[in-house]
Amino acid sequence: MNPHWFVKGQLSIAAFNPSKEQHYKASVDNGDTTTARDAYLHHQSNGLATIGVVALTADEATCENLPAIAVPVDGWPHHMVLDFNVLPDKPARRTAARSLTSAARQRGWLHNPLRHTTI
Amino acid sequence: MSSLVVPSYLPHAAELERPLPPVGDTTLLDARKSFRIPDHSLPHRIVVFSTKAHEHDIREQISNLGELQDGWLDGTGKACDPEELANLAERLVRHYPLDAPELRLYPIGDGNVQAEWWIGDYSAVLEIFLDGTAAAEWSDCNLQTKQENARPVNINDEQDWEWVVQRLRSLS
Repeated sequence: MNPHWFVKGQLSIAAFNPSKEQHYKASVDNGDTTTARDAYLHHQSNGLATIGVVALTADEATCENLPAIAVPVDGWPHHMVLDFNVLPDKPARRTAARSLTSAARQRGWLHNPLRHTTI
Repeated sequence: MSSLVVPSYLPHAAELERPLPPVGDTTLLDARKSFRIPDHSLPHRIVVFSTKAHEHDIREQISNLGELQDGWLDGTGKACDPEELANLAERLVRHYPLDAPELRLYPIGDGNVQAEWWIGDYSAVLEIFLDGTAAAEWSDCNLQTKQENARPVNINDEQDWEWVVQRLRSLS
């Protein structure tokens, strides 16, 4: 989770609403093949900012009509993307982001090295 | 009788100055109003809820957004325009009251920012376009019904801010 999407103890829906600059694709890791801790450490080892790991289930993504597509990268076979391009417009992407963020918040942190007490 | 000191940066500060209401140790004060709250919810005898703290919070959040560089989001993510951020800070300080639901500002990958609130079953978002147009887009959504209410907002328009605050209060 990017640090800028966690303000005053609350996660932003921006975390699940990729912009045009991200090609409307959210980068995630496959929880069936790696752990939240390893995903966090891998992210950090690439020099990318992160404060912890939250999660969605495949069913939660499917409920929003979002396909989770395996896109392995060099040395990291666990990488996947949630492709928001399948949604028709911005309001639809925003609605999906709200539902996914709500689900992630209810689930809580899967890896929380900074010991945040809220999400 | 002691007086309520009104920070000089508030508009019409002199008009706002008035005596401290004699409600003793159950009074929560700000520069514009006072109201009673239950004894058990206050750890201290008197809490002065400073407008300066409110302004500081807004300016600190804006300052954090202003520190973002291009690439802040895993190599993508545009920096926010500093002049647009400065204007947004002034508008928020002037028009977003301290007794409104807590304000949280987040960057978006496209260089814009959004304020977000989670209120009961509702998610509310004000996406603010930092492109010189003063345009913003309000949307709130009931997460149970997925019914969305959206409308454009002009951040330079005081009445639009009043609408935003009223809408937030109606969701509370």
